[in-house]
Amino acid sequence: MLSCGWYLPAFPWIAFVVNVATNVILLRTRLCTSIVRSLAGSFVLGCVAFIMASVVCGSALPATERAATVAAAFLTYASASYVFFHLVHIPEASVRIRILQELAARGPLSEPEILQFYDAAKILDIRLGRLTRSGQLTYEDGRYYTGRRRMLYVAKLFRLAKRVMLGAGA
Amino acid sequence: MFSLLAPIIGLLATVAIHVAAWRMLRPRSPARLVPLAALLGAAVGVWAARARCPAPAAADLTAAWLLFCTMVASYLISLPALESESPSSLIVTCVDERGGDGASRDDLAAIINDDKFVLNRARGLELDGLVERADGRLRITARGRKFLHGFLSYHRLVGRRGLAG
Repeated sequence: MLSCGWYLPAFPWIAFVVNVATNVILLRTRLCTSIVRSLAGSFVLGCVAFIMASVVCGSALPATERAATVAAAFLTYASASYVFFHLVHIPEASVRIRILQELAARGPLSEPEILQFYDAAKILDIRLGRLTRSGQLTYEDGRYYTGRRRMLYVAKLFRLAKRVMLGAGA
Repeated sequence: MFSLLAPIIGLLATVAIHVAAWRMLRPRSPARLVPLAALLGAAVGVWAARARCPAPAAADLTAAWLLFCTMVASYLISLPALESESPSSLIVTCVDERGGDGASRDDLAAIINDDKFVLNRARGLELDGLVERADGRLRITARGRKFLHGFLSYHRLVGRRGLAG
C-alpha cells in the first residue's frame, strides 16, 4: 500500500487522462467540431476528475500540507493540459506545418511555387474567416471590428512577455 | 511544501537564465538553450527549497520533478509564439488599434505579407533541418516528415484531415 503522499504525483495524471480521453471522444464522435471548444470542454471535465480525486484522497494528506499539495497537483495538471492544447492546436493553425504539408504532398517546390499554393492573401482569408466565426472579430460594411477580446488579450500578453524578455527593440 | 516551492523557484530560475543567455548570445534557435537552463534552474530550485524543507519524501521529490518538467515544457512550447507573432495575433491587434473605425481587408493585407509570413517561415524550416534546398527548390527532409507525422498523428486519431494554416 502506498503512503498518502503518493496520491500527489498521481492526481494530475488521472485528470489529464480524463482530459485527453474526453477530447478524443468529443472530436471523433463530432459532438464538437471546433478544436478550441473541444479542448476547453475536455479541460473542464479533467478539472472535475481532479476535484473528485482531491475530495476522495485529499483527506488522507496531512492538514498542514494539504493546500500546497493540491495546488502543486493542480499546477501540474494545468501545465500538462496547456502543452496538450498547443500540441493539438498547432497543426490546425501553424503556417510552418502547412508549408511542410504542401512540400510532403507536392514534392520539391521553389519559393514562387509555394506562394501559388499558400500565400499571405490565403493566410489572411483563412484567419479572417476563423476570427469572425469564433466571434473575435465582427464584420460590418466591409470593415472588421473587435468582437470578443479573448484572442486580443492573449496577443497582448505575448507582446508584453516578448518586450519584458527581449527588450523594447525585439 | 517542497513539491510546490522547488518547481516554482526552479522555473523562475530557468526562465531568468534562459532569457539572460538569449539576450547575450542571440542564438538562431533559442529553444536549444532551454535544456541547459532547465538543468541549472532545477538545481537552484532544489537548493532554495531545501532551506525550508530539509528532508523531502520520495513522493514529494517525484511530484516536484513532474511539476517542474510540465512547467518547463509549457515554457518551451510557448517560445515560438514569443519568437514570431502569429498572423491572427497581428490581425486582432491591428483591428483593435484602429478602434471605432475598424479595418478593411486591404488595411490588413498591408501587414500580412508573403515575405514575413510564408517565405521567412520556410527559411526557418530550412535552418531547423526540416526542409532542404536543392536547385532552388525546397524539399522536405526525413526529419521534416517525422516532425510532420508526429504533429498530425493526433489529428488522424480523431479523424481530422484538413490542411493547417
